[in-house]
Amino acid sequence: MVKSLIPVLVALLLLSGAAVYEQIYVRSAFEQLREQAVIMQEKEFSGTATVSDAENVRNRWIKEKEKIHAFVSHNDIKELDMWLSEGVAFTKNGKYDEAYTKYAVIADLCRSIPKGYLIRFENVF
Amino acid sequence: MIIIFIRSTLTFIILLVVMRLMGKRQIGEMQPFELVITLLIAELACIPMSDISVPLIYGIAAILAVFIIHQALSLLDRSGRILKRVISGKPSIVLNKDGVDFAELRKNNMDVEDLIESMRSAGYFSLDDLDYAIFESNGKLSAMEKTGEKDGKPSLPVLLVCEGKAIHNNLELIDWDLNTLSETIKKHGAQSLKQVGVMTVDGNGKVYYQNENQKYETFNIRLKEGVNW
Repeated sequence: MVKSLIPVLVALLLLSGAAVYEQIYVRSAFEQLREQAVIMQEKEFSGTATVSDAENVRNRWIKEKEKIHAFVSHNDIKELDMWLSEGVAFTKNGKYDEAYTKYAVIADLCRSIPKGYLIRFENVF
Repeated sequence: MIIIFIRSTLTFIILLVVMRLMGKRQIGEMQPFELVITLLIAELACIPMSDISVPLIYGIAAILAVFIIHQALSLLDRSGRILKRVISGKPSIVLNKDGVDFAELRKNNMDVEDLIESMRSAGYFSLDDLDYAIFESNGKLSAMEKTGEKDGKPSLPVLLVCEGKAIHNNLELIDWDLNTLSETIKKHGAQSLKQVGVMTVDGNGKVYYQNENQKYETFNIRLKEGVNW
């Protein structure tokens, strides 16, 4: 009995540990990107955003996503990559209005993606 | 390509460990929940293995979850008779000394043809060969053979009536028509074909006959010259 319970308890512990870590880590990683996107939005709005600002945000994300790949659907990450690249390109061309909308979408995605990992009715079914 | 190889290797190792922990029964005779788990686990392993857009940890988490469910159900299965019946089901005695138990067969979504087929797989070709036939909860047929000598040469019985329906091909085989069949069943207490549960005949002319909800009987008929199978 005890022998058969040990692997179950170990599996339960592993699963619950991974679930807690996933919740905390995914939320904090996306929150960081969201904060950066909001700052970029403000800079794009005032027309003070530079290419290096945009590239810094993207590079930080590239570093961060190496770990996020283990927890988040790769398609979600690809979507963010796409919006970030567009944000960099529009900033480079001085098209601040277009870049502003791209960072608004990124901030929105950073809010909605982690919600997909919460234990909620709509996520379970 | 190398990514798929690494992911497949990792998934395989985890599955192998989980299957070993589940025990040998998982590989041989399975209870219903074990079969469900086996079917599920193959699918769960397949998706993250082949689709690289899905994080591998999704597959691992799902396999671990199924493992926990399996162990919990195994514990419940062993904890008492009532729970065992709920989780694994109970054996069904589908053939007894009175003949075929049609109600029990229907409970298992089976008909007489299915029973005869399972009996053939177990090495018994006539309903009259057995005193008892039991479908175990793992789907296997257990049979208790009749004691005593068998009369006549061994011959394969064919089904003439299966739960109220005449098997026309087999009637042609023994050169009978529906009128001959109707006369025969009336002699044995059935007003119409619908009341007949099962009727078989073998090459020696030995008939196994049972009306629904009645004890079976055996009798002999004379097969016409040249009738052979």
